[in-house]
Amino acid sequence: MIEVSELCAGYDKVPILHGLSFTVPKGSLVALIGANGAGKSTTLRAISGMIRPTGGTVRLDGDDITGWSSHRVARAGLAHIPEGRRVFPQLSVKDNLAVGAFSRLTGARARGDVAADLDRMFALFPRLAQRRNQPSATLSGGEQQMLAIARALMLSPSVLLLDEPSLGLAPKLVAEVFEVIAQLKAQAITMLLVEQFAFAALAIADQALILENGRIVLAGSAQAVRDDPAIRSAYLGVEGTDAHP
Amino acid sequence: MRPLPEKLVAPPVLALALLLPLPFVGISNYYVHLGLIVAIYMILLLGLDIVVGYTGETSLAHAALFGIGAYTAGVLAFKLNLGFWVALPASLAVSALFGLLLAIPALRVRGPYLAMVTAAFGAIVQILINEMTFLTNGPMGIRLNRPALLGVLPRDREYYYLVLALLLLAVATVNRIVSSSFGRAFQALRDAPIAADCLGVSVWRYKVYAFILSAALAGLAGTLFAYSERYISPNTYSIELSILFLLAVTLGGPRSRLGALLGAAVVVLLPNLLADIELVRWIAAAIGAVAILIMAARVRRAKAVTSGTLDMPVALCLAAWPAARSLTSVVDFKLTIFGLMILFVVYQMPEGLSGRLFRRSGPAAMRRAAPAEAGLHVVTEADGDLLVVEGLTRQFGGLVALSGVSLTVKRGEIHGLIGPNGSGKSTLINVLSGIYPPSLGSIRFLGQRLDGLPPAAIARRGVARTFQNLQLFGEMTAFENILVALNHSLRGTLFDVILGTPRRRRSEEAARDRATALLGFVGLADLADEKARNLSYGKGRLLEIARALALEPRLLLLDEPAAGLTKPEIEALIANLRRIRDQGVAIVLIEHHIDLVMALCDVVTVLDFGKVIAEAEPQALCRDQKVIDAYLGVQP
Repeated sequence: MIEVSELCAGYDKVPILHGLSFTVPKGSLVALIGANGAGKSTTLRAISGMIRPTGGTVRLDGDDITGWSSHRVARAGLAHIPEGRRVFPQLSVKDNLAVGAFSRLTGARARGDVAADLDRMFALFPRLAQRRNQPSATLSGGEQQMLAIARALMLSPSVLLLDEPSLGLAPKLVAEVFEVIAQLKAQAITMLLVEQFAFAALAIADQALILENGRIVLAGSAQAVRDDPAIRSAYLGVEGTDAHP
Repeated sequence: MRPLPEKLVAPPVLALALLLPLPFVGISNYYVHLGLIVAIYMILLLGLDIVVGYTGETSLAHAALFGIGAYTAGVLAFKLNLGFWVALPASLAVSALFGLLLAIPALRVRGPYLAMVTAAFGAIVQILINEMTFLTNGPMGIRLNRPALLGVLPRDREYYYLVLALLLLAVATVNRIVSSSFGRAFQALRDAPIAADCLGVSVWRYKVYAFILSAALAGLAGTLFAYSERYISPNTYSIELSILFLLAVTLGGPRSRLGALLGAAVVVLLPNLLADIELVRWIAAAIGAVAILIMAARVRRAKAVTSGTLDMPVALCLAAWPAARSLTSVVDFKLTIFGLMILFVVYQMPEGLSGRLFRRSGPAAMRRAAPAEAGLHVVTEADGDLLVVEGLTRQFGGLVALSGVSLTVKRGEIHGLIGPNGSGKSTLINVLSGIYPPSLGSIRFLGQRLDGLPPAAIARRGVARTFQNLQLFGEMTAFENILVALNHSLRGTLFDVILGTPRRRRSEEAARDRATALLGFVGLADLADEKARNLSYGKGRLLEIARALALEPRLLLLDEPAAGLTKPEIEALIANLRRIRDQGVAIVLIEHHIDLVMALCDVVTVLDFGKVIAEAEPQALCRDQKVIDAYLGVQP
């Protein structure tokens, strides 16, 4: 679980987050909703150590991880899948996944575990299995997103931060990505999800946080947020659907 | 320490004013001569900064360009008996020519490769100077006499004022150039060269400009150096000197005239200070003492003491005090000290000394209040075909990314382009905007062939685009990003910029108003002075649209403009795209948000595996089984 308290962060000394406090309980899926520039990506970055918080604390399963460097946070079991995929283009699909398990190879666990996990990933993402020896640059956008998620899962994380996993994907693939997220939820992985398709995100999330100008203006069950007409018109768009998926 | 605002100090002017009375305050001739060298190096660094700080390239050839300037003066005196006043313009011209030569490799390679090429250039020039004895007198060197000023032969003191006057002129010129469209173009090609080309700002042309300007200043400095030393020989202009110049730019701070001054002062004065061992011991002791104070302050302030809070002061302490006690001669360690300094600067103050000491004044000061309404360029023409693409094929090796694509965009229509990821949509946009030439097929725009033209030429004909992966000029503000695209609206040449002619100023002011209006149009007025790299993904996309509109295009190619936008933001985008269309600008729209495509497009083309599989009105497409299978998955 993640406990964030009074979190402040920004870029070039320009503050973006002004004291966020929230909890992502173990095994639950929390959706982070808000306009562009509200600070959604910044929140994820401050949690995973990609940027250094300027104030407040972040706890991962009870341990204070505030200000840790991102590789240390990753080793502690928190995987962050940043916006825009960022797979290693020259490496094959299999090697991308192996890199995901890198910190485990040097740890106590044996290589056999990693091989088993590779098989588990290929079972979860059959399309990747077909392309296991292809350079990942030759994958389509959707496949690259699947690979980014699979690579993060190779860490065996207890917590997953997902930043816009459906970004730039064709409608058919958006539906597939959401299916994967639902499967991960069934496996009780703790997740914090930033997603442009707010309705689709709220449909699978347990709880929702609404972010505005770096502050949480509303927190509640995903169902309640989805059904509230006032919130809907202010943050989710007038029609009340994403049109797809 | 809180940095002082740069404007308050007007640093270059103030610093130069401080240098002005130098020869009169009872300073020995030795230090007057050092002051002279600082001023000459500063002229060269102003030029090097254009290449390093603004265009983000590397040059290890500047010592050679400096040498070319010096030897232009030397050869003119030695062979033709022509003096200083001929050498001055001649060295500018000759070194500018060599700058042009140097720009050619810079157009092909970047980074470490360019460093190698320029280092080779430097080595060749030095060897040629050494070997071409018939011209340069080879290793024997050349003696020069200073020009007579008002009938007297100048000593260092008088010559110092001559150099200072030329330095002030150089500072003023460089200031004008870098704050103009040229400076913005240089930075644009550093941050996102492809985007610069697609906005009609030719990377090729501006890189050549940058190298020529930089080389000309190096040549000028070389001539002044030759007449300052009154004797030149080839071994001065070695790669070590080039490295020293790069160190000075980094240390002083890139993109700053004050930085050039500080950098020059450090690299010239430091070796001389090091010769005074008593002084060095005091300095080392002071560094140790300051380190202890910093450590104490950090321990008091920090909640938890980690290795990170203490490593730097402890290292300084451990290094400085034994050094203060035991050193007997440090001149031998000059290069080591320079090396440590560069490490320190790179780690601790990437903006250099000037960036650390003075806060840059933002471009807000230059922005003017403008009418909020965009007042887009209205195109009024009869209906008809704007863009006709026929049989377009593009191959990458064995991969056929586009295969026989034909489509027609009519004036004032919004033409959707959809298809699965990897179906060739972005490749089509890249071919239309000239980034890749087509392998086969033709592109006609307003009846003229576009295929085979470079991106900047296509942009100037009225085809603007945005990018799927944002290509913003990250280190520039949102406002400046748009100004880059308004380059086409500015009147006059480089000389108008340097002289600040009225027609140039008027068109600059018009461009600023227009940029303000365009920012307002996409709803980014509040973020005008934010660096583009700090914008969120969706806001960056809006900035790209505003930037493309600054070209006053007839056709706008948008590659996933709604990616990363939330539902309410998409609704605002739809309204904006309609307004753009109503002004007569046709749009080709790649988008995965089907609701956006439905709401906006007059006609939609569907690509799959590089081929057109369907083209129809949006409503009809949703019922097309081929499109549902390939793309939609389910009927929306």
